[in-house]
Amino acid sequence: MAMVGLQRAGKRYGDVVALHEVDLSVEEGEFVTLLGPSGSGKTTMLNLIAGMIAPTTGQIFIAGKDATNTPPNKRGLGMVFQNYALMPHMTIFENVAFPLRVRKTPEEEIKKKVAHVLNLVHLPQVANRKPRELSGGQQQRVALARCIVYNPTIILMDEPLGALDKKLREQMQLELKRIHTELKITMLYVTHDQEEALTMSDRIVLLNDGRIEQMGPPEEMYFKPRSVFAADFLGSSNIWDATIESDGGATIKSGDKVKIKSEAFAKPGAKAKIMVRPENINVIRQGDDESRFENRVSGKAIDTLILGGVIKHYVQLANDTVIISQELTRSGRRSLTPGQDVRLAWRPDDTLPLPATGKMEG
Amino acid sequence: MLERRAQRLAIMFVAPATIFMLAVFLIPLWKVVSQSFTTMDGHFTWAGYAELKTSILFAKVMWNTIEISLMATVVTLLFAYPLAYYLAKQPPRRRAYLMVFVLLPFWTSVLVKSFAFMVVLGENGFINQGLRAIIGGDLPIKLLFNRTGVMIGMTHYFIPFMVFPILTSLLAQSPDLPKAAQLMGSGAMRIFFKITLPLSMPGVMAGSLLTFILSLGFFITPSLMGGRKDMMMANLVDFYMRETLNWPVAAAIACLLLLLSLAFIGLLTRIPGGKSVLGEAG
Repeated sequence: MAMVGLQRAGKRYGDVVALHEVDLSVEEGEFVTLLGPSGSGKTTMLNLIAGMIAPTTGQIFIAGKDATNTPPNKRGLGMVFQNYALMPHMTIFENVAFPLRVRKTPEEEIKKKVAHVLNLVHLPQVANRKPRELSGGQQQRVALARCIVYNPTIILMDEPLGALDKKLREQMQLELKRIHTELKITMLYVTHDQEEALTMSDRIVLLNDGRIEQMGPPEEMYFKPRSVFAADFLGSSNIWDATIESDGGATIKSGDKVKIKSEAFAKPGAKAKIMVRPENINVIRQGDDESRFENRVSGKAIDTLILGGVIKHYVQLANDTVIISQELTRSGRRSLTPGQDVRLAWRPDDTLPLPATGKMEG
Repeated sequence: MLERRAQRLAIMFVAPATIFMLAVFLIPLWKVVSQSFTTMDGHFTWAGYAELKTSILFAKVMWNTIEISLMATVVTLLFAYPLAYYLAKQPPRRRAYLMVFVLLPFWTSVLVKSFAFMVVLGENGFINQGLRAIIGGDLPIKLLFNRTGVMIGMTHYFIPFMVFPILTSLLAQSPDLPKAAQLMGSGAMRIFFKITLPLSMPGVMAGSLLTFILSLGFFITPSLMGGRKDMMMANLVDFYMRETLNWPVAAAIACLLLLLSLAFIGLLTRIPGGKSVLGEAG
């Protein structure tokens, strides 16, 4: 059953459209991420579901019922905020007990439930402390416990890891994923961080300019973007202007001819964009057999960047076209010397045609 | 060398104000303290304090002062809290604009305002004339020369002092807290009494103490708008100074009043939020 549904729900402020009419349905136990740059409408969508703002058009369903006019405190939702929103004057126990007290749960049961959820987030020892005595990561785990404890229909998360440093953020991502899998809670997660979205989600909803650009599981979003925006926003990518040829191949901006994956829209003569992920582009070194890659180009090295585990090569092709190749870092693997001739190769299957503007249908 | 220079510079900055305060405040204050231990012909004496110890008038006025101050504090709080709450909910620009109205009482002297109140509240004042016109008859409500008059005058003056500390502690609260509570199912009453109010207590305490301290030394309002029973400590000082010409007693009362105020100011520095009122950040 859909735990949360939006039906042609939209929001406008005067002449400004914050969210065009969108449809979305989050199934029970699903982890859905709303991903997009700031101003793309993801927070508006979250606030519509939470009931903090009313939609200008359309309806909102929660647990199968029309909740468009239900006040926030009657929606039975949980929410985790970026700044934790723990009550500073209450102990951790009182914070987690708060939603239970609202529900008039017997004191005995409150004690049991609070202890249980604090265990679940690995913080059984902090019950008597105040929020300010805890680290950011701990506070966010308490905030999550405070949601889990009353078993809401869905937990909304508004960039919950945004205030944490990188290491802690990665740790919390795994923690969130673990709790989600263990408890099968329905979660709607808002972020502008594509890596976070790819790591945790069952499904990503990519928003752009108040519209849903594309939605699907992370692999599909990453490997089958349907627009230049999607290809560009998730992961890094080489995107070139190109013309589709009569034999089904394409000529890219540098003048090189490449074979591409076939797509219905890519008719001969059509203007298109061609996208290849940097990790699919191989640097051909002496002794490498390049014949297994059907697409091959030559260029001059511009620069090489070592980013820890991966290494990025920037190579200049004709006509001001730059191509980025990404490899895993290996000791002994030599950097490219700026100016040296480089041969790059990749497979047609990794060469995706995209519409020059807008997105592919279907 | 550099530190020395910085020190000299600092002295230059504070010296003018220090000298001024010495001349017009600290030296006269010292005179008052020494006066309280000196007879009219210049000998040391405890008599001023000794007389107060047994004076029924002083005990009564002392009690009066504390009672009026407490009443004024409570009444001010009742008016100021909703006002601060409303201001805290406004968008910043509108709040700044409304704040001007809260500050209006500061722009006129207490004396002028007291006379204005007499015109408005008197037996033939604005309010009573209006009531007569509506209800008819000849039964003026007594709004002057009694406790009611004192309360109206004092509360009016204190509201800004109470509004600002409370507003500060309300604005310091994250707007996500009531939002979070609401999503957890909490109604408006619970949000106010369990979250907003407890978190604003430092502001309430600071504002209340400040109001209480200020009202301890009030003079003009009780003497112009109060009755015979509304005499406060400052009025008693005036009485001994000018009516009975007993300066040692007058000075002794002034000193006790000062000590009382200092004690409460000391308390103010010890409560959370109290220091903001005294000009310290955080």
